[in-house]
Amino acid sequence: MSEATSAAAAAAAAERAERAERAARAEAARASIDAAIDDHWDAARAHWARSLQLGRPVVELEGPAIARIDLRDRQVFVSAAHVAGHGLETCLEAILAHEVGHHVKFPRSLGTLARMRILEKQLIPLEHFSALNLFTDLLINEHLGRRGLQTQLGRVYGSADHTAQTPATFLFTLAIYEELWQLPPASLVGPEGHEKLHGIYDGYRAEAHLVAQDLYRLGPNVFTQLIFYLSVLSRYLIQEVEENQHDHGGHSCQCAGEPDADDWASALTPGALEDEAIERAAREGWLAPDQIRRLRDKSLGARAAGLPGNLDGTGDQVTEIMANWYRRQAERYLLRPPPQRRLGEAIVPTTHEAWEPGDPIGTIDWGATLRERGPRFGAARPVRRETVADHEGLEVELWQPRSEIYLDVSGSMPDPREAENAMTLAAIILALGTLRAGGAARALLYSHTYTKSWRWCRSLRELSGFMLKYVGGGTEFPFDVLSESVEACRDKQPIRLVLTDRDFDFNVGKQPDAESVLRHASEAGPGFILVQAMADPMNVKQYRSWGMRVVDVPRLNDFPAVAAQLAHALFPEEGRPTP
Amino acid sequence: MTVELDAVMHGFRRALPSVERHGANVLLTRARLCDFQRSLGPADCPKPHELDEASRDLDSEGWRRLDLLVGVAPLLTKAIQRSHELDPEPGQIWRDAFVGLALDMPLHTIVLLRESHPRREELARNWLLRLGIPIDGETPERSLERLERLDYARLMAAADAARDAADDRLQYLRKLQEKADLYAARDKY
Repeated sequence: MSEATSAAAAAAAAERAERAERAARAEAARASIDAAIDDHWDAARAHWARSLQLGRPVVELEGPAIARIDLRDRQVFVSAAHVAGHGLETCLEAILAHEVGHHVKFPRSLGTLARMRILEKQLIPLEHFSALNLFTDLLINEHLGRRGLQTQLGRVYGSADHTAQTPATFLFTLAIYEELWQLPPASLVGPEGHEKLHGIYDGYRAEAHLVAQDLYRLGPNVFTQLIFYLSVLSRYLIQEVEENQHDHGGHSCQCAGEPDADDWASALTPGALEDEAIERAAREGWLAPDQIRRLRDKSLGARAAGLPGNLDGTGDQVTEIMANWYRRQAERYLLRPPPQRRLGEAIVPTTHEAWEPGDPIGTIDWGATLRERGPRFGAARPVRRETVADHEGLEVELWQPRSEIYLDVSGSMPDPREAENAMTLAAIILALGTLRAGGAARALLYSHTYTKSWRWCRSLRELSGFMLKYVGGGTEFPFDVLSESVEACRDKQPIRLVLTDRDFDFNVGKQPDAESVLRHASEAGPGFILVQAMADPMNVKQYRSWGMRVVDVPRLNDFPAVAAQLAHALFPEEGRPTP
Repeated sequence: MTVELDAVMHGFRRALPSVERHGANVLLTRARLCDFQRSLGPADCPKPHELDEASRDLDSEGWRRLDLLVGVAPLLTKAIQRSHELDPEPGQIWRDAFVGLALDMPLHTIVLLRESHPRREELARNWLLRLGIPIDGETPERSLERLERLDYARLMAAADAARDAADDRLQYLRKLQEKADLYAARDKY
């Protein structure tokens, strides 16, 4: 073995030994912190509520931050490496209480988080920047500071070495803590952090002081507090740092758990608290008039810009979120009836029991009466037996509605994933109406080309997801598909609904056999209905003469309301289509 | 004789809700101020025309501040008496530490004082400074340093200057917002 080889082997062995020692140390720290958690967990929870059901924290060996939470499963994680590495074992109560605060109050739910993020993105449209964690930390720590944990929290934040690379927004937030807890200047920010903030604006401490004073007075509306905080914090955004992912050196806890499509869809419609917060911001002059105008813009497009990935075009969840939003809107138009228990077919006989005067005579089981009691006694005291259903809800309507929807998604309509498309919403309402009546639907989206989901479907989630596709070109109604469908459906013709605008008239004019195709479709099925925006009365007359039914929609925005009326007319609950 | 700052601030906290709810009755506040001053020494009680002149510029918020001070003042009677044992003109107390203070802190509204701990502390420190009462556990230098750090008028001016100076830095943000506006504009059809 050469000298060089043996030296390399020795170095590798030393490295292995060092790694093993490090691992043993980390494991020992993990075990020690894990044991200490039992001493502090009850006290940590008691800072928020007397009785709080939360799973025992999990101690990780490494972890991305000192502590973190997962809002989905309400779990708290503590990093042994970070806690032991910074000598924060004596601050466990504050660390745990802080994480509990995220679960219990700020933000408490992923729904609130989604609303806060949309508001934040309207003010600071940077895809990879978010100050929400810093903001919720501020609210939590103020509460805990008043409850005697100020020293521990100060030690946690003061244990980091901040450099010029630390984001200015994080440093400024630390300066707020310094003012809030009356700590010596730069005790949390550090000398380099102070230099950096001073370089941005030498009066940063004055701003930090006023934020520390005013932020908590603005409660309990958390959105008011958020707008105020962001209005100040936005002045500390520095392009070269804030464009990158935030790195707080593990000293800002991490909030895991992304809001799901349902949370986002709900957040797309601002609530009263958000409205109140925006009006307060306008009154107090926290923001420039153009920013207020931006916040007041409740259009779907403005709010949807804040969806994850929408600002840089990487959002793969957008379609699902928007489909969810359209379903919610459709629900608004078609009120859900209260659920009713329905008995299945009554075919299972019950046991015999004595017939009493007043019971229905039809319930007497004469065969059993004669067998058990003979002709004389049986005539005087017959027995009865009823039949009941074995299962609930097996009853099936004899008629099941089916809708075949042709939806115009040409360039004259907006992309439904980015803005509210009234025609798409109308199509979803009609699909929902069909499904509510126990039926199935299928859809075709057309522009200069078409795409179809042609399997009969009973899932609104699937249908609405499909209907959010967008082509955005010219308009060519697929007469060939219509003809094929009429042939293929034979004696099970669906109701056919075409949602379009006046472009349909041009399509009919260009298609030589349009009249025969449309006549055939109208005569073959229970209904061929053209739901047309701003229909031309002359053309309407002609279509009606071909057997089509035409619903004129005066304005594009009326589509959902018209669709709702149509759905009620076509599919009254558990009923047949109206003639 | 020193005074605990917390005791004064506690007095403010207890008195503030009542002052906020009922406002200040000017005649009553004047009478209470005179009573308090008389309790320090009958000769030092302000004459009506002196009080009229000194309080001429007090607005309603100013009277409420004065009412607050007069309400909490009995807590400090002994400390004031000790501090002014050698003072040749203790009569200036009502003028400088009461009416003067109420006039000189126009930003400290009663609502702000109720909601903000730092502003209560600033008022308390200013008051004790004017009354010549040292704060327990602090050197006079430390008290002055803390008071300077709390100076609300200075902080407000600095924050306003920060907002004005941030214009250039906000250009980048404005561009991003304009880009986002274009996105939102797709909704308008």
